[in-house]
Amino acid sequence: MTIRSFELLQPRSLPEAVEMLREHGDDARPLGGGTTLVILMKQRAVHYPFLVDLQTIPGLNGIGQESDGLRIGALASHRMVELSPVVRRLLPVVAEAFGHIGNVRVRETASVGGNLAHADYRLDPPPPLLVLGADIGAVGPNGSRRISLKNFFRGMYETALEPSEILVDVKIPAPPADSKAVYLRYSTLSANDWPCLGVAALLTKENGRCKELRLALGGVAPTPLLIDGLEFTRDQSLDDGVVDKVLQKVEEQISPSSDLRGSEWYKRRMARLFVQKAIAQLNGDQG
Amino acid sequence: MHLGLTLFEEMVFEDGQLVNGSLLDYQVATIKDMPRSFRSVVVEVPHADGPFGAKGAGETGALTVAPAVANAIEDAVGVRIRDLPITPEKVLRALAEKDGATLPRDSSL
Amino acid sequence: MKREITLNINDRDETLVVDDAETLLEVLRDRLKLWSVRESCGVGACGSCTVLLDGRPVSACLLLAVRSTGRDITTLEGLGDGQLLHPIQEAFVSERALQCAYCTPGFVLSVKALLDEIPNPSDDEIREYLSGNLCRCAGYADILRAVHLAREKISRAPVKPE
Repeated sequence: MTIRSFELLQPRSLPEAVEMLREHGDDARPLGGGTTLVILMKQRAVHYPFLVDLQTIPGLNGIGQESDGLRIGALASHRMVELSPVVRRLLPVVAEAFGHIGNVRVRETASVGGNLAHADYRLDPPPPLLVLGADIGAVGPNGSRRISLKNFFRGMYETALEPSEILVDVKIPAPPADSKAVYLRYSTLSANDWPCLGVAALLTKENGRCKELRLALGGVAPTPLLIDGLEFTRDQSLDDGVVDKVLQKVEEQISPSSDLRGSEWYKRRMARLFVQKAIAQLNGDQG
Repeated sequence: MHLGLTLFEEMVFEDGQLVNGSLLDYQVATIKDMPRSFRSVVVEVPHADGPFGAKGAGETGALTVAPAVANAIEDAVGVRIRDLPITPEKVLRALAEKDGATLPRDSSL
Repeated sequence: MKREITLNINDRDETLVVDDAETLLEVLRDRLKLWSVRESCGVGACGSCTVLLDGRPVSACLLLAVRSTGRDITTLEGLGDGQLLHPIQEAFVSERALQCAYCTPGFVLSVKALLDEIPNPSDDEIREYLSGNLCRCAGYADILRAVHLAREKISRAPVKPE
């Protein structure tokens, strides 16, 4: 046996799961799809005497359209999102981003909630979810609350979740009328690698001019990053001068570190390039 | 066919520690990385000392992939990369340095 | 913690006592001696331990065995009938889509899931679906041909030995 022995607790309801987590404190963690946690436990990088199985709680894996947008349950697999007709119709960029993760087997197993709660700085779904203004639902000992994704990622592998709090869903509001979104990911190694970086952009246009531009990047900061301070693009046409100012904002806010997938110098160059590409693609699309 | 070693594969050490020791970080070529079409041409050169001219079979023939890729890059953009793997960053650096730029060096490369 | 579980493997119920920390791979290979399920990378990247869970491909190395109860588990031993090869296996043999064969069971099961999901896949769809199965003997071109041949064999013989 590779993993150190532990006890798998199998709650039947969310309050029961929260109570189990509260009772065992730092000795317990929730288990979603398990892809990341199982690897970390096999490598003996982490050990928890208790794991709380979220798969035994009914109703956590639904995907559905609501009056104000789309709701994806935390236990929905990446593959369910990738193939979901309603996600593909309403928010194709989200289906596409979940379809980029790992390989088909990992996507069958990994859960949406686990992906977000893991808070890896380079995963594909956060940038598009950030530009779309998604928020997550959490249930804990003090009841339930919603946290905007922008305030959810606190640091490398750190989130705003409190101890014993469970991520239960992500809600994505309907995108603004006349808006288009795109997610570009760039891998420097094999086709299935984590991205060197990912860029999501959402552009709303009015009378041929920019009404709102949102940008989010993955892989170039300790957390997925929603770019601040793009309000100046309002009512502008996105010509070279305006795009240059946007790139300046991006440069100021990213802080890539050198690793196997590129040096800081290279990632800064690629961030510029892919932000330009994303804007050009959205701008050209709507002519 | 040696494409992985040409484009991706490298054991990276930092302070004596291997930092890409699993297949999550040490990337090998997948079926998606395979070229849409490729053609192998066997050039028969009998070995002087081998029985009936025979020589070791197997990976010898794969050694031509890296030079083929390096030659193609030089033909396309005019820079020659002399160490494997040939990453996009190495090509971009070589292009920038050819234009006279001085770039920050990075220990992890 | 140890507990008794029943797993449905290749249409047979197997009841055994497992530890919560045992992976499905460890149970299938070490306990039940299903040698087609192989460990290689241990991190879900290579596909050597591919099995089908309710017909969908998964990495057995990433699953806890106790969470696989109530699901239909298929390993390579569950294809074919012990006498005849499954058409996908036949296709791999006739296209010589294997060299060392360590990756082959995983590839065959991935192809099974692919053709069940997309009966007439394009080259791009095949590449996407199989990109998580690694072959180190450079057999991808032969494997791609084997998938097309398997697709033809299956469409010609709608009643397939299972």
